[in-house]
Amino acid sequence: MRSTHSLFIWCLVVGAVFGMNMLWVTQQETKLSPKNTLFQGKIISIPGFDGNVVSFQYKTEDEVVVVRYTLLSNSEKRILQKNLHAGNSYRIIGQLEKPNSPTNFHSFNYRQYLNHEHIYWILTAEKPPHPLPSSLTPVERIMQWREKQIYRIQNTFPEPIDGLMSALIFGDQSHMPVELQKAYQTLGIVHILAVSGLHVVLLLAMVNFICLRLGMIREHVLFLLLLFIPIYVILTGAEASVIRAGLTGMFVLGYTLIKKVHLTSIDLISIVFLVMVFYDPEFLFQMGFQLSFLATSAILLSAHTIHKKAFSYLEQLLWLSVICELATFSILIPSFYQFSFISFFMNMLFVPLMTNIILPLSIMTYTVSYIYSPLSFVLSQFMSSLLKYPHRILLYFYYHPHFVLTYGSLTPVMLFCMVLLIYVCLCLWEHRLKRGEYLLLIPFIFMYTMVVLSGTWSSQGQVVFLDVGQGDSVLIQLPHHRGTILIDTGGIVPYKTEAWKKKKDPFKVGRDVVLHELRASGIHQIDMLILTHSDYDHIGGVKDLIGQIPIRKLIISPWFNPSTADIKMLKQAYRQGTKIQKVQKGDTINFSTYAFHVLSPATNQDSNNNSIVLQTNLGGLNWLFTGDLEEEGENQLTKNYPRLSIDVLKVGHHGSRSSTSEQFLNVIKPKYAMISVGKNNRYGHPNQEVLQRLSSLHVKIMRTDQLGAIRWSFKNDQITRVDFAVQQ
Amino acid sequence: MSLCLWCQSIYAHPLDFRHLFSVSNQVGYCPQCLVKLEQIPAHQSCRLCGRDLTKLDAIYIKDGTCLDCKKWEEGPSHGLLEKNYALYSYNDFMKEIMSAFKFRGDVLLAEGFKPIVQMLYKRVIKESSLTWFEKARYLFFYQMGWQFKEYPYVIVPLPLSQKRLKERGYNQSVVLAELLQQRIIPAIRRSEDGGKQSKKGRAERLNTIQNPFRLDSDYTDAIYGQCVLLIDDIYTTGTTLRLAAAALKVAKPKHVISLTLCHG
Repeated sequence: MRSTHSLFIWCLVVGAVFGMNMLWVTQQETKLSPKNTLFQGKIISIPGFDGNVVSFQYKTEDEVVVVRYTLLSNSEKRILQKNLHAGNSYRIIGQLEKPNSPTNFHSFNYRQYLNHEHIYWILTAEKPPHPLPSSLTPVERIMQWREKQIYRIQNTFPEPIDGLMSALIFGDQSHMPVELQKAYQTLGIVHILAVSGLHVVLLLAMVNFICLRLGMIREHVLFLLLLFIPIYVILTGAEASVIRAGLTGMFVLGYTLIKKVHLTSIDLISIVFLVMVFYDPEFLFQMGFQLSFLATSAILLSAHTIHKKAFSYLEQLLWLSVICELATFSILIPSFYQFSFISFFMNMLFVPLMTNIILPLSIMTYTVSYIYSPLSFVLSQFMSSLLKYPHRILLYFYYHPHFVLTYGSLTPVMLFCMVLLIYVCLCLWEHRLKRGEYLLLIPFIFMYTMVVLSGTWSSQGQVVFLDVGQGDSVLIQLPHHRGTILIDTGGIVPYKTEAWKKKKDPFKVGRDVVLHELRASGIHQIDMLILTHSDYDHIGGVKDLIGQIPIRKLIISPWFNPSTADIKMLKQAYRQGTKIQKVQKGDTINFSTYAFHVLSPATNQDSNNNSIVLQTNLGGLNWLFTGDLEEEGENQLTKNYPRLSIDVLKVGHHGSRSSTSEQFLNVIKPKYAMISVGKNNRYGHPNQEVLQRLSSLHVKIMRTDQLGAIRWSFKNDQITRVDFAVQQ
Repeated sequence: MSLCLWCQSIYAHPLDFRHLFSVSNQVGYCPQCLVKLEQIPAHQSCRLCGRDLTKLDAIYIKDGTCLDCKKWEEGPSHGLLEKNYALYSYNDFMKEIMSAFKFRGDVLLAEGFKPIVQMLYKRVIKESSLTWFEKARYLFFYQMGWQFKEYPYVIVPLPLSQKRLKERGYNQSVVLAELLQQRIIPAIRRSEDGGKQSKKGRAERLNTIQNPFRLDSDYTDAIYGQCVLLIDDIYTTGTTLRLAAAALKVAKPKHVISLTLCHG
């Protein structure tokens, strides 16, 4: 009893110390304000050149900011690539801006992410950074050496070996080919690319072996290793997982030196955790930190049981990957929304391949390249041929998502239940004398069933006007999973750029907004995709959806005017099993009790006026989705339906002057006007005249450029709430 | 981190998911010592005396019981002791532990068996003739460390004679019974008789005629109609336990089973 009491008191003390540390000591507020425009400081990360933008972390006297500079020419890019280095001092003139906060309900919160790294501002440089004379600290020297090595690897070895090597040896994943990196991520094997305990152990063992062979005393070698670890941590980019591994290594060496202390591995990892969190509480919110600690402790806790239950290496590997997936589920699902069962097999394929073959080979190749470069070339060729087929398999499953469960963003209650369920299942699995592998699969399947059932039971429906920038995309989810309807997909009009300006992974609205939001809402198929007309800002995103999410039916007007690219896209959709249906005035599309009436087009006109116009009743309101309908089309509409009365109007053509005529408004008398429009768009949408016309009729205007995505929730015949993605 | 009760070496049991949130201040044996103990596999033990059947030749086994038990069942004391549960085979290592525990006063050695004895007690409840609901309730209460209002078993440790108790200072059966953390009923008394059971040979033990045990009349009500669980350190021939069971018979228990640390 006494020890229980003292344990409790210790917990209270540690909790109080950490709480105070978090509240008063390490809490940082920004000292900068937008008034500051001239800065002096050091670059503290490797400058990343992506197309015509260079960005890096920059330490001013007060705090760290992210600097962005838009390059003017290719020659400037080359000059800066030569001159910008981590560790050097520069003078920068520019404007401070707050990082973007999300404009869709589930989009990545870049501002929050940076805040957790104690970064509060983005500095948009007006001129290229001006170098200042400065002296380098030892840490900066190591950083510069690292940068040089990464640059060297990039220039020496072929793709994708260069990216892999700089990830595996120097912890820099930014040179991996984009799709490959995404494939590693979605299929749950990205952990292989992170420098972690394995690397530290491998390296320590190597150094230890060499030093002992050279005849050094064991104690001296230990000291040497203790010094070596921090250098290695800086050399590999000092990510959370490396720091964890390094600190653990140092503790192990430390207590081997002292000899008096006995710690279990769980004690060790707990101490390292406390040390890291005490140093910086914001670590707790960083995904790398969370994943690293969760996975490692899960492995430590299950090692004994796995050893008892599985005999072969591959079997142990499978168990381990399942347990790691379970342990990190509560972190991964809220940000990726999906789980792929392929990931178990990918782990079984890639973990042995990478750890036993590719990692030693790449270290060898890298070392050999200093001594005899032709041999290193042969080795790198060998590596790329080794990885060719595994990578093909990986990419196949990335592009063809089989065996994938979409959970969507789980509610906190569900997440809590999930964690509890996972823990109980792990305990039961451990308790069972027999293998009981099914116990480990229960959480995945049970939770998925819960997600599906809760959607089926929920009598709440939603209409979401997504913020796709300049473009249209409306997502309608009917109650009880009766149907998912997507009207248009947004799209960024592509324009030709010079090769040097091309971004490595440009923003794609179909993938990064529409598909992301669909997945976050737990949608695993689109029942009906309506393409109102063929303008790129309405259908540009379709190609990012096809193949990634099943589309049951695609609806276009008979006068849909496809370009050759569109025809290709439609054909591809057709091959994927999508039915293509044409509708015109007078047609009705039914989803159980919900009816969508097509009011236009009746005849062939110009492209915008060929827009499909839909009228429906949701949550007791009459909705009109107009696409890009212009005055001409509106007139025809009011002629055909003179008694049309509407509550919510999706304003035609993003609020252009040529739409939403006074006459039209007088007939339909909307109460709300939704304008889907991009911030600072070059067309000047929405037009002031249109806004005046609407406000003079006391129509409430909601704009996606101001409010972000807009979500109307309804239940039966009632609108229950309207949310905006941008906090007001 | 703890010290092994037997060899005094520092050891740590690997932490697992089940014990992640539990405060572990248990004392126990290190893995090296635990390996030397031979645990009797539950599904390969004699139905009646709990002996490890894997260590017995097939000719001595009949219908899942050993021939010794067959003999008991055919004899006059048939049905006195319904079943015995035993944890470990009485091998050389166990002999050393038992002699330290019983004769050299190292009482703490018993504490190391606490988790496994409690696990065995749970097995006893699971295999009892209670309804599933009662079993679940008892097991749940036991797991939570709550006391029952009524108990599934009346726990009766085998007594020592007054003289021996004075010599030794403790009764090893009571120490073992206390590991269960249940109410203990000292319903049996032992008269001052001659000689330790452990100093006698097999024939001598089997031929004990006069029963050294008698029922303490204060506890007649506590025994009446109840299931009794006798606790002893070791089951050798089964005579002692049967004598104790015979002494209890006066109070008309529902049935009598026993739990011992070792068998052999």
